[in-house]
Amino acid sequence: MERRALKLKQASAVLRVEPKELQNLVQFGVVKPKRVDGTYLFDKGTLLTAKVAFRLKESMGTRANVLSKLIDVFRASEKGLRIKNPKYVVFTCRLSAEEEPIKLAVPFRSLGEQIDQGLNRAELYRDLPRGRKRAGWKKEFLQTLSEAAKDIGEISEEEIQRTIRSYREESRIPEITVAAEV
Amino acid sequence: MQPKSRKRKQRAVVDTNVVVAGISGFRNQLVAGLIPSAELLHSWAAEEHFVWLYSEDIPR
Repeated sequence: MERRALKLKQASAVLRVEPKELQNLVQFGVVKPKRVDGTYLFDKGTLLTAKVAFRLKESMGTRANVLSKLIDVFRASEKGLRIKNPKYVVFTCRLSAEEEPIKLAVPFRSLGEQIDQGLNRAELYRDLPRGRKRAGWKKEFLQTLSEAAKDIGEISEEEIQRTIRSYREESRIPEITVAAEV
Repeated sequence: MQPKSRKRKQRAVVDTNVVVAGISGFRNQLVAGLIPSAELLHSWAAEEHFVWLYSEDIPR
């Protein structure tokens, strides 16, 4: 698992982002996958780094140049962090000499767990031509829907609507808290 | 020669509950008129007559 390397499309599926978004991080030098014969290969460490970068970018809207600095620091201690596997990693950033630093805590362990789960399913995200361009796509698509239907089981339309509505209500609750730290 | 006018496909937003209901309709043989959501998916597979627009949840 550790040594496994994924291509960009597979890696983006594991990270649950669009391939273009991951490619952007690579182009900005935030994420540095190995390059073999012109193909980027993402190992688990690179995936974790990308996951942390995406979390910082999505939740804080961090600009690429700041993100690069944060991730450079993260990358330098990434091996040690993976051994310790802390619940959170805390970035302390002093953006100017006169100001006290700000702290950003990222849920390191749970991001690592998400990568592990994604890697277990990586075989499903094969690096194939997309959609209809692939031979046998229609048959494969309808078959996948039939299999998914069996997994869903007997469920009424009302139950589907109720479940989706309650999921949306739960996921919409913003969780921002503030606490004093000495 | 007149330039060919490129007909743009319709773009559609389909709510998640329609997709899930449509998938659940694939448990059994498709019967016309029984589960419209399943028919939508079936016809889309046969003929790409619209482009799916993916979006985050649309707040109500």
